[in-house]
Amino acid sequence: MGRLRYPLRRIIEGLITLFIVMTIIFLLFRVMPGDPLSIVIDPKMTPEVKEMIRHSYGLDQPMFVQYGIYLKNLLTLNLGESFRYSQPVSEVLAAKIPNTLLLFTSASVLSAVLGIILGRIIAWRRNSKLEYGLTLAGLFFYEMPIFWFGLILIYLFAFRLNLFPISGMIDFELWTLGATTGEKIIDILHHLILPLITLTTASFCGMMLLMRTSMVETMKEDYVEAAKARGLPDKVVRDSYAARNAELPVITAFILSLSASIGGGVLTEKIFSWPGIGYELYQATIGRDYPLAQGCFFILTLMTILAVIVIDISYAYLDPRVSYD
Amino acid sequence: MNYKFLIILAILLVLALLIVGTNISEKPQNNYLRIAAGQEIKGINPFNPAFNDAYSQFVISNIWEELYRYTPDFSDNPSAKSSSDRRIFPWIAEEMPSYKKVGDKYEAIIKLRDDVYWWDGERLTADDVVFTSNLMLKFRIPPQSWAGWSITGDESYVESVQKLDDFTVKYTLKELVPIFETGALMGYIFPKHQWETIIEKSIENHHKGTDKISEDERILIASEIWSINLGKNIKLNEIIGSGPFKPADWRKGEYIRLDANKDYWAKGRILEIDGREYEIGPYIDGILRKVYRSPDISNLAMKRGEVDIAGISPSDIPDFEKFKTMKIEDYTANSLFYLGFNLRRKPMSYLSFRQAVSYLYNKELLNERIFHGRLPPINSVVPFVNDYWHNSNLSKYGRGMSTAEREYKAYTILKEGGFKWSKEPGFNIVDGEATELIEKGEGLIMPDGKICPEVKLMGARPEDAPDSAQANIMLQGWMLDIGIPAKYTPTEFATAVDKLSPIDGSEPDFDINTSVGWLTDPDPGYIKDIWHSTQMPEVTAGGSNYSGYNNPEFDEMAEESAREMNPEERREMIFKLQEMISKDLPVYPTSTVKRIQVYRADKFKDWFNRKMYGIGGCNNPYSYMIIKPT
Repeated sequence: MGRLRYPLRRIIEGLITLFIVMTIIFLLFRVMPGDPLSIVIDPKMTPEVKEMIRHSYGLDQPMFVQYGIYLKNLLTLNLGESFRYSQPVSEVLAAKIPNTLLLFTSASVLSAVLGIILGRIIAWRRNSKLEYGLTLAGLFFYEMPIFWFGLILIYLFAFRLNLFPISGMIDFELWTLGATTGEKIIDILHHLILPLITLTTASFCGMMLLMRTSMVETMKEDYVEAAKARGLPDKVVRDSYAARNAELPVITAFILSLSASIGGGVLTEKIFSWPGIGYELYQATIGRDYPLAQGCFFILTLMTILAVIVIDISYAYLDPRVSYD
Repeated sequence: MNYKFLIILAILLVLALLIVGTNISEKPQNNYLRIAAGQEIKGINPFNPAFNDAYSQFVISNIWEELYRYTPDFSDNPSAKSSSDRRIFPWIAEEMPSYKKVGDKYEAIIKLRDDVYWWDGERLTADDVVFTSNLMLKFRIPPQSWAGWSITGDESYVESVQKLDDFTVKYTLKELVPIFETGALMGYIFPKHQWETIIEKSIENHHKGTDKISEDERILIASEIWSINLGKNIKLNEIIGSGPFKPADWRKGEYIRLDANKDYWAKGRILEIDGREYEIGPYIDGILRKVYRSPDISNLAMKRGEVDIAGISPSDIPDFEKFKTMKIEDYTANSLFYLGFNLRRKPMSYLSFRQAVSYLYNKELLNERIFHGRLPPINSVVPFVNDYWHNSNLSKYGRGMSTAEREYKAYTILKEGGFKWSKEPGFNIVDGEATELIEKGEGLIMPDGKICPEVKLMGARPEDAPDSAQANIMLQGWMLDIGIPAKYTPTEFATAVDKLSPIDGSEPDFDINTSVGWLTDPDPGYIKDIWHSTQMPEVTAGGSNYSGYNNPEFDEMAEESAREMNPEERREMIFKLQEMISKDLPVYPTSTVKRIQVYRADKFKDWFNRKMYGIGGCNNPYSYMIIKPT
């Protein structure tokens, strides 16, 4: 019963958090200066037409009425209609989320895999040249501006060596003028490589250092020393004794990065013209497209809350020392 | 090193090489024109007011067409003798409109061509024209032809429209005004057989009872129509237009493909452009418009041959000049940037102050040093590129003067206007001319004896427009030199718009504005729409007369010019309106915009660089219908 009560409590807390975050987001957009319909209204339109447009979007209603409609829509998962595209927000997001997931979730997974493997190795070989080299390289890539690195990769591998496409997710000529499904899949993968390398290179370091620190701490534990004393091979001690316990904080960071990956990345999407949700969120925010921006934030908040709940609950199962009874 | 890690790395590497090795399949041979675009299109519903951007309009303008257009090169059309603008010529119409006065009203007879066909093979007739006009008259749906909206509103000059026969339409007008030709007759015509059922269904959904459609119902109907998703609710291949290119494939965020209309009704028609005859095609297979969100990347795509036409910046020119296969063309857009003064506040309410600031703003120097030739200076609110209406005999406000000469002139004007200083600026004068500012002025006192308050220069933020920010900093420096307490206030664009034209009808909140510009129409009717006193935001919420310019003489002439059908007489009035603005300085016109395009001359020939609009885009529909593969 205790194990059920805890998840239930976390879900209720998550819903309350979601409500508070969405209310803050609603208010933040309304206190931002500027007319949200400036992207729709042509200054040369007659005042009557301008008013008509304002009315049709419900922006002539008092704020508490707008808030009421907003909450009602959220409850029914109706995210409203984008000012910019005059399309349901759910449709705009549905078109972009898979693209974002493909790139950013792949990058998160790849970063985590690389980070865990490399972190494990450098923790095991502390004070070696390998540790210094990998840490330095990781920090360098972690701190470098991602657009700069992306541009260099495009210039070298796409423009100069002609190995990869310059940008985008597909070859528009190939797709629109006829390609088989197989060719289309290969084409997407081909377009995926450079942005994936850029993102992974820039983000694996965080995971690697976290893994290293966690592993170093774990290696001081008595049971690891005991395993060594029992004469077990290094590989077994490292992978089965030290690494398994050291992976817990890394898994937390990984799940959070997975949930955040749905938000994409503005700079990467801009440089690689990747049609994802990050650039859309940026455009919606600066263009005061309330419904679209709110929709993006809703999905992001929901995913983050879900991730935190999953982490909390999974800890109870992953780590026998943790109990919620 | 861990062998598993090496194996994963090796697998990734092999996978990458495999993908690279197997890619890319041979692309089908084609003659599609590939355009690099900076943004994706928002949508293609022609009734949606949100789709007024140049990107969406590019597609829309290739689908639907107008009764009349401006001549491709903006030359006079000999048959437009009785028109308000001689540059207009018939497109879907057969000939220029004929007018007749009947009682206190006017009748305009429009003859249509009988060889215009919709894409589904139906003939375009008077029914379509009457249907389209009534749609706007009854529901006041803002159409997307940029000038076409003028038919809407209670002040509409169109009373009714009726079909006389299959190819003749009669408009009954309350008054005959130029905007009828440059607005209503330049709106797109839509096929009745596609839209009538949709609109009837919308009326059925929202109109209750048999009474006249109420205002609320009208809004619901209009917004339902503009919410129709073309591409989804109506599939791309079901859209019916009459234009030269049909939308065929649209992957949002990536590209849109338009296919050539091989049965285009105007095929074979001769266009005379700049004295040369062109036969209308289209000769290309279609247009592929691909989104590149970074100009650096679209430049690389152009160089690598992924696209055939792209916009570039002046600093890219030397780089592209190296390519023998490419040609670079530039054009001056019909854009208008200015310093806007808030005449409601001191010291901006003093003409001498506005004149002094105008002299201080060295637009020639800024264009050369800061904007690298991108913002050519202008002296009128009608940019020089619109030569039909441009008045070239206006004050140049210090053109050719050095900075010291300008500062001295500004100081003299302020002094003559009754301004004083606690410490006057000092100049080195040689042969009666200022050669150098040797001491900055301080403590400016206004003619009313009060100390001049801080003057805020509301301009773009450095992160949004670094060169404009630099220009603002320079203006601030010049003003400070002669003792004007100026302060550049970087302001985000939407905040600036909010301050200039508050939607609640309150007074604008700014001193001097440098952040707003307009892309003006070829018709100068916008002068009245912007600077008529009724357009002050405190009079008409959302109005565009931010400065608060209120000159009865100007208002009267602006109204008269909006009614004058004789182009020569109207031109005189427009010239006078430009003079008044130049003299009264509610705004000081500073610059227009020069744009540069690069294209593949080895792949396509017969490009036409249209005045004000360049070799492509939504306002040059002619280029794409005449270019030929080499």
